[in-house]
Amino acid sequence: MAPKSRQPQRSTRYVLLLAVFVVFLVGVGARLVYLQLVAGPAYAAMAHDQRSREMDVPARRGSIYDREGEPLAVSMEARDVYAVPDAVVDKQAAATAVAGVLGGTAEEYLGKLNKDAPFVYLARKVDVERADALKQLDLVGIGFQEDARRVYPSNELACQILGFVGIDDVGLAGVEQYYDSVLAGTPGKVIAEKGTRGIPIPGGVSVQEDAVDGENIVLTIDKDIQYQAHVELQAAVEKWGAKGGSVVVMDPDTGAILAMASTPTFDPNKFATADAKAFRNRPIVDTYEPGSTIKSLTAAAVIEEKMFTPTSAFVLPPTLKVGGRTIHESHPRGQVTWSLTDIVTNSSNVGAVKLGIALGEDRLYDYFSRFGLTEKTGVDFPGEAMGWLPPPAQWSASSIGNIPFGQGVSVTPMQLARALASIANGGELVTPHFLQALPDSPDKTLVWPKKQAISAETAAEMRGVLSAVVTEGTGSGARVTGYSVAGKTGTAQKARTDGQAGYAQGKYIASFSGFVPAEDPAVLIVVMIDEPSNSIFGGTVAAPTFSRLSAYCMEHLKIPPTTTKTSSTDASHTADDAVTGEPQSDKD
Amino acid sequence: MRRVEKTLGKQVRDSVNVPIMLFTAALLAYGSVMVSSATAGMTGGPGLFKRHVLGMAVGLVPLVVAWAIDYKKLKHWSGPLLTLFAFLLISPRIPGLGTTAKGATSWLAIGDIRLFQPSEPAKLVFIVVMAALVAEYEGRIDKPRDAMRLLGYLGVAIVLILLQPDLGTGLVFVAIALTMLLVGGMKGRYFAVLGLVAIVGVVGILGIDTTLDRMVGHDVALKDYQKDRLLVFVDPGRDPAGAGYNLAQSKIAIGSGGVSGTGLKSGTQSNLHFLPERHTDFIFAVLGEELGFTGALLLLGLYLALLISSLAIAASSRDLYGALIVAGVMGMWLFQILENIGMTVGMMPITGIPLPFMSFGSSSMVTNLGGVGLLLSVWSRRYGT
Repeated sequence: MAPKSRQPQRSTRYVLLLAVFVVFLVGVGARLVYLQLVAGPAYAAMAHDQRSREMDVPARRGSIYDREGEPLAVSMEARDVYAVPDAVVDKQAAATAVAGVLGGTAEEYLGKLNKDAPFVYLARKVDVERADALKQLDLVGIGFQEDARRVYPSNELACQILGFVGIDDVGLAGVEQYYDSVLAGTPGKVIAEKGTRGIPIPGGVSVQEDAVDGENIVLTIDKDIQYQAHVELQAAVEKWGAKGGSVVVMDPDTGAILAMASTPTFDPNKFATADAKAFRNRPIVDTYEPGSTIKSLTAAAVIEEKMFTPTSAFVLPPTLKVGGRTIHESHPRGQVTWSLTDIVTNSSNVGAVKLGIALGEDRLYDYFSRFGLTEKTGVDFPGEAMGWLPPPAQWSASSIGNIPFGQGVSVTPMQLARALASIANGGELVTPHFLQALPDSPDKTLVWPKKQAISAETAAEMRGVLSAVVTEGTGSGARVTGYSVAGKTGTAQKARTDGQAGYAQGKYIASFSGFVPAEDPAVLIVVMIDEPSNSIFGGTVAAPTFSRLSAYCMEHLKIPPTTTKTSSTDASHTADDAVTGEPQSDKD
Repeated sequence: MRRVEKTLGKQVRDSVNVPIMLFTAALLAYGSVMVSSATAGMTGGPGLFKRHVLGMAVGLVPLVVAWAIDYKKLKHWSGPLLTLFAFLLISPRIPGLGTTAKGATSWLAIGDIRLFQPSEPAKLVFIVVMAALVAEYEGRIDKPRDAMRLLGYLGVAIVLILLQPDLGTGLVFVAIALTMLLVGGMKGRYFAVLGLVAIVGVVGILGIDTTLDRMVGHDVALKDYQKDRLLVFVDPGRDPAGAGYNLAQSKIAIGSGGVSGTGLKSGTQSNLHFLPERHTDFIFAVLGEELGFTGALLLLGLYLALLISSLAIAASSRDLYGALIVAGVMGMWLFQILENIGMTVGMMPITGIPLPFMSFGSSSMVTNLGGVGLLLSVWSRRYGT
């Protein structure tokens, strides 16, 4: 009985089993009809999309030249070395081989090869020669990409001006940053078929857009003067045991910056390992209290206003009380009768305050504004700072007793150079700049705005006053053999940085700012020495540097001598500059 | 003399089942072509292909051995076979023998060299043992107690596999057992109850496990990736770059194949490494991309032919025991085909189950050829003695 009833039952179940499979087959078949026949083109498009990537083809970055065509920054062809870790069979051997050619340790490369990543850079911006040598080894899983390396042939020379570019060739500081859009060019585009691991498929590349290389730029910098400024500054900083310093050399007529140096320096070829403090292009990004230097602006204002002439006489008491505060001279003296010129040459604080009071707060502020102390200079450089000069409404009763001689006001050396340039060039406030020319865009005209600050007559008279500073006054250390020099010393106390009001004890900035030749200036130079420790006076510390650098510039720029008499640069009879800041009578 | 020759000739002719051998050979050839194509762009591709061919050659040994053995004798070996079964499933846990890959301890290895997955041959052992148990009921499993007992054996096997943990292989065992219970005469009502219990169980376990993970603060019991796969199946857009990535890439591969495919070794999805596990679990996606709808239909046709030929052998069996063995092997293939192809087209959740005769992988190849051996053994002895 059993077999009879069992047999048909079993075959029913076989049919059931088969039915399950057939139902499944029909289901899968229908699914395949949809996937492959109906949605097939859409999936094919998705497949194409995910294997083709739009890639940038790097544009060659433009070079930076000095005004003589000397290269300051150039892009060299280089290679990136990458690895697809999964494809590297013997990682230890590969790491050793790579270390042997590129340098570094095998462990370092082995670490990268052992990363759980589809793609790693073993080294970027490698010399073409080295990359080619590595290519010869034919290592499986290691590939090469075109790249470019930024090279600064003069190393630390002009480092703060030039700045540097990051690993992806974007300017990160200095002119490299400011003119990045000009230098960078436009990357081209290619559509490349790539696998999930980012490796282009050979033959799968099609160019969509050609790369447009970046433009070269020519700077106003004169590499030779830059070098001299750099060397002189280093020497001065070392000689006076200073914390740092800066130098600006500018053509006062145009605002073209011939040299600008700051210490400490760094090597832009190795910026990644440098101290970021060295990146500061101090004349543009740092402010300080200008001190006595500003007396020349106060003097120019009273002459322009026709209130006084350089020979006007002033009776000066030993001290002067203004707004409850007593103004001292840095070197105590009795009552004197000095001309306006004497006030500047002897750097009299009391005299400067008298001129300021005669002008009045509003006019003093107005003139300082005209000299550009309340605006940025507009220099073509990133991160320009602006000094601090509050409008008269915010002044205290004693402000008129210190602003005229450079206290309670701050400027950047660039602002100061620009203000003095107007005295040097016949009254025009120029726009300081680094860009000399765009050789690849000859049609573009560069316009550097100018505006009249004072009259040409006042400027001429002030040049006479500032010449006297060097011939007879505190700036005798700035004399240059064969050339007339005009300038002004400055010895300013530094403001406290610990959050307290007032001045830091024993911390000074010694400066000398001037131009040569005095009658028809070719260069304007500002030398600032930060926290000199052996001496503090601008006439002693900064003027000799100014003198040597000026002499070099005259020779280098082939400026004919203006005087025949030999003047000494010996600082032995240099009169000391006025110290602005707290009374220093106990110091000298 | 002449009579002996004739008898021997007839004996050999009786043992040979042309359809099953033909379709197996065709599938093996098809699989070789696909593995060769899929591994072409891989590092060590030729080496992988050699290993695939070697796996087929090694698989001939269990095929011939199983063919030669009279399957009826296996009925009396249940004790030793059960011991072997338990050992195979526990062996990866034995220190020094097993190794862990992708979260599962399911491989035997010497040092870093993975030898094989013991859970693969364990399927055949399970089929033989289970067949003996089910056959005892002579085609009538209509008492709840009997059904419970048989499902209890299955439960033990499942627990052993889930210890590895290998969810996919566990499901294969369930499929094998259910096919055998179907052919073995279990009442339809029991299947319905079982299905209900399974649904409630899965939902319950997921819920409990999630709560447990949350309470303990880290991943316990079910691995998160296992849960993810199941949940991604329900909602593929859930995580396209993670667990859904495999499915998305598989569908793109198959879909972009169109009617006739991109041609062998020209599938960009597989050659460019978008497709994961392309020579093993996702070989059907490679086939779909490179040979298109036509190639896929050819494969489905071959599988249908294989299963019909197997059914013919089951029907020819002179006893229930033989039919059950065939049913077990069929259940194994059927479920693996269903699950593997189903997952590549997005009809099933993603598990690591190879496609019979097609996927790269010696353990599975050896097991499937052993299964063919069992079928031939049943076929050879259809007239009995």
